[in-house]
Amino acid sequence: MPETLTTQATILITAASVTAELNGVNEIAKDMTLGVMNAKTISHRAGESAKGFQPITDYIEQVAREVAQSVVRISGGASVLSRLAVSYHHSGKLLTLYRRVLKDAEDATHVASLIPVITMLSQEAQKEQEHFVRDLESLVRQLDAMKNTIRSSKVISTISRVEAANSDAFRKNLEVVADDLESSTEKIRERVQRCHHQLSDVIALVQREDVS
Amino acid sequence: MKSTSIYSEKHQWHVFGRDPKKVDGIVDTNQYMIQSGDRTLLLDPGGIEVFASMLTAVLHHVRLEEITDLFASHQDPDIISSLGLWEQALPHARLHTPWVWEGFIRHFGSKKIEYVPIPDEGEILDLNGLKLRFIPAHYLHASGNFHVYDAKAKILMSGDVGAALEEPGAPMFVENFERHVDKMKLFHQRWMPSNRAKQDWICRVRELEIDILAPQHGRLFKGEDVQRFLDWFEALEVGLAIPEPASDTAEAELEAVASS
Ligand SMILES: [Fe+2]
Ligand SMILES: [Fe+2]
Repeated sequence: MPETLTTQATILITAASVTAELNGVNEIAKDMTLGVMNAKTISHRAGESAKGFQPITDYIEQVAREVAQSVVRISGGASVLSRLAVSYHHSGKLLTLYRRVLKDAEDATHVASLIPVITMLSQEAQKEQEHFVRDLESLVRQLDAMKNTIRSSKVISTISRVEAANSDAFRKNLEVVADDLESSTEKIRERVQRCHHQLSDVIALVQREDVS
Repeated sequence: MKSTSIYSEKHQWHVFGRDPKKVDGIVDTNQYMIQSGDRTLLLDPGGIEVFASMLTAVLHHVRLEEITDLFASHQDPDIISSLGLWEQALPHARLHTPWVWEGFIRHFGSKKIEYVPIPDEGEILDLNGLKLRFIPAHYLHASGNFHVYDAKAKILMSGDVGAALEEPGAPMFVENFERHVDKMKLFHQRWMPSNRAKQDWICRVRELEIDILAPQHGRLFKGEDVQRFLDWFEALEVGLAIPEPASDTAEAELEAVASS
């Protein structure tokens, strides 16, 4: 990110970009569901020779469903992120503004009446920061859970390749299913990884800010 | 922010304005403050951009906890967009504002402050024994609009009525009424939408004894200039942004063409 971006702008851009990545993941998960329906038809037609393939298609179906559910959850979190970014930024700005008045009004008779306000604003800003970091960390944890789902789906694509080799007549078709699963898994993994990096960067950025 | 005392007896009036730190491109405003014992009212406390200067200036006169009331004559940003900033320091203050604007003014980031809606006919605020009257000034220029009259100090805070767009650093009071007219004319013709509303206000205000007429922009009027202003405003046609309707003859000609 260029140095000139404010923390708030960086957070808002991250929230938008994470949402876009997750929409991409959702599209891939939809393709996976379509692919698995196709695979089920093929393995059904292949009959006995593709028997080992059937639990695999069930599993792929489950993975696609889990990914789609996680996407819904994490996207909800990402949109909350934009709102939190605004209120986090607002509390920091208020504090800065009141501190400026404290300095400008140093010779004013009643300047001391500002102190309790500034103490309260500072406590609020710190609370806002903690809240924000907590929510970011929870998003990262949900991404980690999605990464685990994806990791096991990679194993399944390897097994399905072995099973495809056992089915002479439908070998080619089932290999295509295994290839699709592998490439979808890889694409999702890359996107989730990017979200993970962006959110971790924001956490570091927010934690570096001194709002006390 | 320049601070000027305009009345100082048992209670005090201050006007804050002519802010040298004002950001370019925003219209200069007058903010008013009435101190009455341990209660203080801020009148049209201003926009976000003047908040810091205004708070600094106010702290020379009162402690924050003594500011118990705010008044917004109408919903404009130059009047009250600072509300969300003020309420951080004044969580227990009350905002008196035309009832029509409450839901709109809340857009200025306000969550905590207590709203006291002023009914259309106006009402009296008792500020530690000082009776302040909220005088209806609807459609001058906002559809819900009030001015504040202090019978004791004989001051009428008149919001955008009497406003003039001035050079930075202009004096606080009108010195030559005739020359001042040029600075007010276009503003009143354009911002004030209704001749009927204007006439209604003139009648109501002529019944008040006024030493100082204190608008939200530009110079204040005192002594005979107050009556001069009322006479001038009464004679002025307002609401001029709409083109004149076609003349009767032109209309008759059009009708003749249509029916032939
Ligand atoms: Fe206005
Ligand atoms: Fe105004």
